[in-house]
Formats: sequence, structure tokens, C-alpha cells
Amino acid sequence: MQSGEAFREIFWNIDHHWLMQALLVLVLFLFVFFLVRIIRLTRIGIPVARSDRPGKRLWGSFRDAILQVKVLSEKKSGIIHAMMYFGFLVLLVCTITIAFDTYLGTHFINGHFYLYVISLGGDIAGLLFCAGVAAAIVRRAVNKNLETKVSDIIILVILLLVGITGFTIEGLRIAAADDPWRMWSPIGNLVAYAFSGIDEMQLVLWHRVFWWIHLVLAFAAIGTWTCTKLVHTFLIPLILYRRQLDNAAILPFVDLEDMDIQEIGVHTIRDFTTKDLLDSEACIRCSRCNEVCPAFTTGKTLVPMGFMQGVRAQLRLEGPEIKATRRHKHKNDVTEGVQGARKELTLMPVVGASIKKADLWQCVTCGACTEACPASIEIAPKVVKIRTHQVSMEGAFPNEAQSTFRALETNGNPWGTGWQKRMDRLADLEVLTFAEHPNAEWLYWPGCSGAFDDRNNKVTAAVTQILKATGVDFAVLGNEERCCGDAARRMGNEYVYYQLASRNIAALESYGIKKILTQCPHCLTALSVDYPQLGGSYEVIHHTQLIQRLIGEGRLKPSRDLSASLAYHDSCYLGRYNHVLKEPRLALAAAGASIVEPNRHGKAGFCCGAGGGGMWLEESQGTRINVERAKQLLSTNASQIVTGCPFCLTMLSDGIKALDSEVSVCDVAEIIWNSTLYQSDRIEPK
Amino acid sequence: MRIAVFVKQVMDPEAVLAFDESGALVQNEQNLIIDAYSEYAVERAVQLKEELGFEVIAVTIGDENSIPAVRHALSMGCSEAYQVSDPDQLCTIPELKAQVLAAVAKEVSADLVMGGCMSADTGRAQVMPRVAEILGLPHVNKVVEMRLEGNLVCTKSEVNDGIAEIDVQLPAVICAQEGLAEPRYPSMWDIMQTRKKTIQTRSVNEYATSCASTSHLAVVLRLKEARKSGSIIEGETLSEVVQKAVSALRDEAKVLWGA
Ligand code: SF4
Ligand code: SF4
Repeated sequence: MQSGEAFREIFWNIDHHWLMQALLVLVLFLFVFFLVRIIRLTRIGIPVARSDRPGKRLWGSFRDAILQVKVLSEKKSGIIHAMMYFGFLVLLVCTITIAFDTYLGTHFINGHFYLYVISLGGDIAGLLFCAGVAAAIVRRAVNKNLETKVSDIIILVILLLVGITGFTIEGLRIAAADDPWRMWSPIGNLVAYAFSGIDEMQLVLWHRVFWWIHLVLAFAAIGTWTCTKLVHTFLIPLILYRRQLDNAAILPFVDLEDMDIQEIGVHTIRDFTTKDLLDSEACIRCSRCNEVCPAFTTGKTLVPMGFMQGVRAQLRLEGPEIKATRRHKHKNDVTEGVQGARKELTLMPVVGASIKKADLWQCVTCGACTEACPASIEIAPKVVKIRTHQVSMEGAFPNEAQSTFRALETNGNPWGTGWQKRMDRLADLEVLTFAEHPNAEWLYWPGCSGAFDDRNNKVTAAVTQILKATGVDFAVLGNEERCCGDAARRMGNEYVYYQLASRNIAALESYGIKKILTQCPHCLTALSVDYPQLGGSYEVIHHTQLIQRLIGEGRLKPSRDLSASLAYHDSCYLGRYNHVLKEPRLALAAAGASIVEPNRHGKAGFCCGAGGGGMWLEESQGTRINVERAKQLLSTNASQIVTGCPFCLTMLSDGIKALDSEVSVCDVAEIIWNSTLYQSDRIEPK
Repeated sequence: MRIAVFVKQVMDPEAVLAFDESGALVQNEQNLIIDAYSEYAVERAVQLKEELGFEVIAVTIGDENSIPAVRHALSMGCSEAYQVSDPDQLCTIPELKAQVLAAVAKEVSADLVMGGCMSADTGRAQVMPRVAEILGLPHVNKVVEMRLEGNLVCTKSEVNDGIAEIDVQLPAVICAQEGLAEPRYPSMWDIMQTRKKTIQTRSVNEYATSCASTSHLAVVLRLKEARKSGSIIEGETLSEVVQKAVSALRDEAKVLWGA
């Protein structure tokens, strides 16, 4: 027989098709019903416009959901998942083609396509699928960190049984019908051998029984698909489509000039956006976020996965009631609408229900969780939105933050040093202010650390010398500069942030400043991500970017004889949030350094503990994040640690001191300037 | 029950200060903030309001720069606010201030008058006791703890060598010392609500009989001299050292005569 003539009789040995069809209708109904219910439940949130740039959005969904790129970024669980997923996908295609043949009269189950794709492909896919599900069961049973629930195991077992019964009926059919194409179904064929010798009538009977068992199991899986965690197969592509395409540090704009403002930040579950709520429903409890979270891994009580589950539980608990009240209101009083309904319900605050008060302040807003999450679920912005409500509406925050807030309010810097002193050390470096040099091309923004902190003053000195030596035309705002407001905003204090930012913007506008060079990644974020919301749009770059540019243009020539091995620490707000990863490394390499990377680096970098206002908060639980990071960096055996952020510099220096190590921590600018000095004719090496 | 709390807007203690020849401050856009001692008083008063449902009236005196102090007090939870406007800074010495504030306390029929035991800028510590004197009320100074038991104010107050427990009958004047209460940080919401409240303004001329005549005036202000470093007296023998020490005390320090 020619393989081109191969075919398989559909519904061989099976009667009562109507029963199957009736069940299918029921199952599909349940499937749609549960899916619609979840999506409608998340509609109680505030709508977000996340539908611009559809091409980019679609590509993201395709890459991370369909192609599983992010899932596969973690080897073990990624491969297990991919086996289940791709196996399932092929089996789904097989099933659909069969359905086509049956109901639409196509002839897919024929010839080469049947042999190669349906028979062989299906068999291999089935094997992958079963192996993947079995591995997942073992992993869930063994790994205690996953917080596996009984329902997780039940779902997996059902899926495994679907696979096993599938092979069983295949084997029975091959054995009973003595399929001539049996070699194309290697697994089924193996199963068939196991049945050899059994009476044909028996085989036919067994086939029928298993066929129905297989069907019931598969239909049970499909019917409950969208009310179990398997719904993630739909929700994750959806939230990936609606992911944050702009800078991940973006926070919702709060208009403080609006005198009628009623609520800001997130107080109850309905203050979240629909995307936030969908995030919580899509979370599949893979715990990747926990594994990378600096707070969780240093023994604090913050559990990012738990937070997502908390939001979900609260949504399940209160969502239906909120929805019902709204619908009721709409019917009874169209004019009053949603606002009217808002007042009546008494809802639980999210603090205390979804997240504990203490945990709220342990997050350093580093974004590592979102980076690691296969669904890119946004966690830090949710934390900040809750803080915003706590601080701005309730005045509730850890005690130690009060002095920082007050210092920012009165003197525009977190230490509370008299604002008139901001220019002192810059004046020593003979830097001009914009008042003195109004036409400068660049505004150099040393930031509070660069102006007030002793250690970071040395970085300021290095940056200034580089700018001067390369003839960059620059000036500073001097005493007109205020803290950028990043820490205030990410600690939830919109009011102080607004005061600082609007003053800064007024100063920037008064000089018509266009280009800004920041020394601190937090200033970089505030100026480039936060300020446009208040009407201040500038070209803002970080000093490591300018340094790299100057080296590239040949204006800055570091000597290439720095033989040291340096460990580069990525600041979260420089690397992860602003994608400045290459430039500092290229600059260091240009000075001849060999860079050793700690395990966690680049986009997966580990926070120093200062982000999200962590610099100004106490760490009372667990071990210290900066010490943990210092350990990671020291384990590279590098002779020096380099970073591009003043807070990282402070935090890591302290961490290293705590570990009694002598290894020094420097800024990229210092390394480059020192290396330039030695070869320069103009300046004698010291 | 009504509590009058006197508050003062002062220069930020972190501000950069410089003085001219005459000892007057060189204005350098120093920030003004509510005085820390005022805040202790306001906080405790507001706590009493929350515990017992009192009315708390914040009162300040000064030019328009003093208004933020009462606004801040309102944001912290005071029920009403008064500003005695003194645009020409006629009433800057404690004696006159006390006269005015005592009159306001009477006007608002305060059962309890509170304020800082001193202010962080001038540190003269006179206004509150003077107010008590004018009103003929008992006062407790440097109070670090206070509670109300019926008509009795039970206080703990800092004295030179410890803590004194002093109970006084209402009406009374209580001067807050650091530690009386941990001032709260008004949330943005509180601040926005306060924007809608009005501050009642009075003119200083309504109260002070005569702003010019006072019993004492500052003649000259001088900066405290920087502390000189000490010196170690050395010598071969003990008697030599003693000899040197004595002559230093007599000739340099001028604390010994005749020896
Ligand atoms: S942002 Fe960082 S600290 Fe916060 S939950 Fe995520 S990983 Fe943890
Ligand atoms: S938030 Fe993302 S990474 Fe964390 S458990 Fe849920 S799906 Fe996994």
C-alpha cells in the first residue's frame, strides 16, 4: 500500500455521536460562561487605555504567550511547561482537523498529512504532553516553595489521564483493527503490542469503554478550563497584550490642581485598574516573582505572589457585590450612575486584606518580579498606588519616613540640609550655574547625593572633570535645584513630589533647558518618566551614557591599561527601568577593565535595597538587602565593584563594610576619569 | 471645652544663617516652618479633641508669613484658627505678644491654653508664663506628659534634676516640651480639606493697648563667641604646673584676684 493512500476511519467503533455532540455543546457553554464571568468581574476596576500600538502589543503576546519566550527563560519549569504546551497545541490541531473532516467534509485525515502530522506528530506530541504533565506533578509535589494547592494537582492528574487514555484507545484501535499504518503511531503501536493476544471482541469493547472515559475526562477538562487556573491560557495572552509598553516605572498621573479630587491611589479593590485585576486573575502561582524578589529572599514577609493572590481573593469576594450594586444603580437611577453606587458599599481596604501594612513598605519597587514573571504581571506599580493612598489620604506610613518627607518639604533634599548649601561643593569645583551661563548646552543635574553626600561628591568631581576636559558646554541649576521627587513619589507622597517637581520644572522652563545630564538613575527616571505628566519634557540621559558617547567620539580617551577585574552592579532604575545596560559596560571595557558579572545582572539585576524610598526606610525584618547584594558581588572575586547610582554606591559600601571586606565600590565616572588622568599630559598623575 | 493653642512660625533650624554687624539676621530666603514646640502642643491638643471631643483653636500672631503655621495646625486637626495680624512687626517682644495672646484666649473663652515652652528661633521662653500671669491662671512649664481627669490637668514636667508631677485645676496654661506628643504628618487630604477652611483675622491694634511702651528692650544683639579650644598645661614638676595654672587663671581667664 502506498503511504499516499493512508487514511483512518473517523469514529471507528463509536456510536451515539449525538451524545458526544450534546455534551460538547454543554462543555463549550461552560467554557465561555466561566471566561466571560472572570472578564466581567475585572470590569469593576478603573478602565485603562492600553490599546495603542496594536502591532507591538500583538507581537508581545505572540512572543511570550504563543512562542513561550519568557516561560523558557527559566530552564527547568520552562521546559516542562513547553512540553505540555506544545504537546497540547499539536494535539489540539489534530483534534480540530478531525472535527473539520467530520463536520465540514474536508479530507485532512488522509495521505502524507495523516501519516506525518496526525499519526506521527500526534504521537510525539502526546508523549511530550504526558511527560510534561507528569514532570509538573512531580515538581509541584517536591518543591514546597510553590505553595501547591490540591486543585493544582487534580487538574494535572486529569490532564495526564486524558493523555494516557488517548494512547490506550489508540493502542486498542490499532490492535483490534490491525491498522496497516501502525508504524506511524509508535507509541500507540507499543500499547497495541501490550494488547496482543487478546480476543478481538474484547478489544473492541475495551476500546469503546476507554473512548468514552477519554471523552468524559477531556470534556471535564474543557468544561472547567476557564474556572480553574487553566484560564491563564486565555488571560495571559490578554494581559500581555495590555502590558505596559512605556517605561515600567510610570505611575498614574494625579492632578493635584484639581480642587475636587476625592480619592487618590488605591484604597479598595475597585480603585485598581481592570488590567490590575486581570493580572491577579491571570497569575498562575509559579512563584518566579518570589524567587527573584529582594524583600522575599532576604526573609521579609512581603510575598509578591501572595499579594497577587490576595488581590484575586478580594476581587472574588467583593467583586460580585460591587458589580451587582452598580447594575442595580444603573437601572434605578441612571443620572446618579456609578458615582452614586460608589458611596454605598462598605468595602475592605486592600491594606490588611490583600497586603499587610508592613509588607507594603518592604517592596523596593525594583521591578525584578515583573521582569521574571512569564506574564509580565505588574507588581511594583500596584504597591506604589496603595502607598499613595496610605500616605496622601490617610497619613499612614512608617515613622522614619516622616523626617524625610519634612526635609524634602522644607529644604528640597532628603537630609534636610539647608537648601542654600546645595551649590557649595559645586562652587568648589568651579562649576557655573545657569544664572551665570544661561546658554549652556547641557544642564548637569548632580542630584541630592551628588551635591550633599561626601562620598558621592567625589563622583560629582569626576563627572565635572570629564565634562570640562572634553569641552562639554554645561552648567548647573545650583541652589535652584530641588530633589527630583522620585523617592517621595514612590513612597506614596504625591503632594511632596508635586511641590518638588513643579518647582524644578519652573526652574527648567525659566532657562529654556532642553538637555539634561543626570548623575542618579532616580533623577533620570523622575525627569524623563514622571515630569512629562506635569508638562516638563526634556532629553534626559545618564552620565554613563554621555561618558560612553564621549569615548565613542574619541573625545575622552581612557587608558586601556586598567587590568583590574570589575564587578558591575546594575542599578534597577538604570538597567531594568531605563535599559541602560551596555553603555556603562562599554565604557569600563574601554578603560581596559575585564568585567565579571554576578549571577544576577543586567535585566535580572538584584536591588541594593535603596529603591522605592528604601534608602529612607528601615529594614526591620530578615537580613539586609544591601548585605545580601554585597555578598553576591563579592562572590565574583572582583577586585572592585562599580555602579552608576549614588544610592547603590552608598548601600553597597555599607553592605561591604558590614561583611568586613576591603573591596571598594566606585562609580563608572570615577574609574573612567582616573584612567584618563594617568595618560593625560595635562594633568600629573597623583 | 475649648483649648487655645498658640503656634509660631519660625525659621527652619537647618537654614543657613548669617548676621550683619548689628547682629541682625541676613535674609537669605530662609524657609519658615511651624515651630517644633508649637507642634507638640498642637498634637496633644488635637489628641484631646479626638479623645474627648474638645474644640481646639489655633492662634498665631505675626505678619502674613505666620499664616502657614495656623494652616498647618488646622491640617493637623485643629477646629478653628485665628491670626492676629501684625504686618509691621510691632509686637515681636514677649511682653506684648503675651498681652495680645492673653486677650485672644479670653475672647475665644479657652478653658485650657497651650503652647510651646519656648520657640526654636528666639528661645526666650517667656510668652506662655506671661500669658498665665496676665490671665491669673496656674501654669506648668516644660510639660512632657499630660492628661485630663475631670477638671484636673495631671502633668509631668521637666525640672532641673528630674520629673515633677504637677496637677493643676482648669483653667490653666500648659507649656509643651519635646516629648509631650509625637506630631502627626498631615496627609495631602488633610491639607486639601484645610484649604477650604477660613482663618479668622484680627488686627494687633485691637488688643495691644500700646505697642511701643514696654518694660524692657533689647539694646544690642551680638553673636556668641565661638568656643576656644582648651589648652593643656605642662611642666617638669607638679609645683611648676600648679604655678602656671594659677597664673593662667589670674592673667588670662581673669577669674582669680589677688592670688
Ligand atoms: S518590585 Fe522588587 S521588591 Fe517589590 S515585589 Fe517586586 S521583586 Fe519584590
Ligand atoms: S505574579 Fe507572575 S511570576 Fe508571580 S506567581 Fe504570578 S505568574 Fe508567577
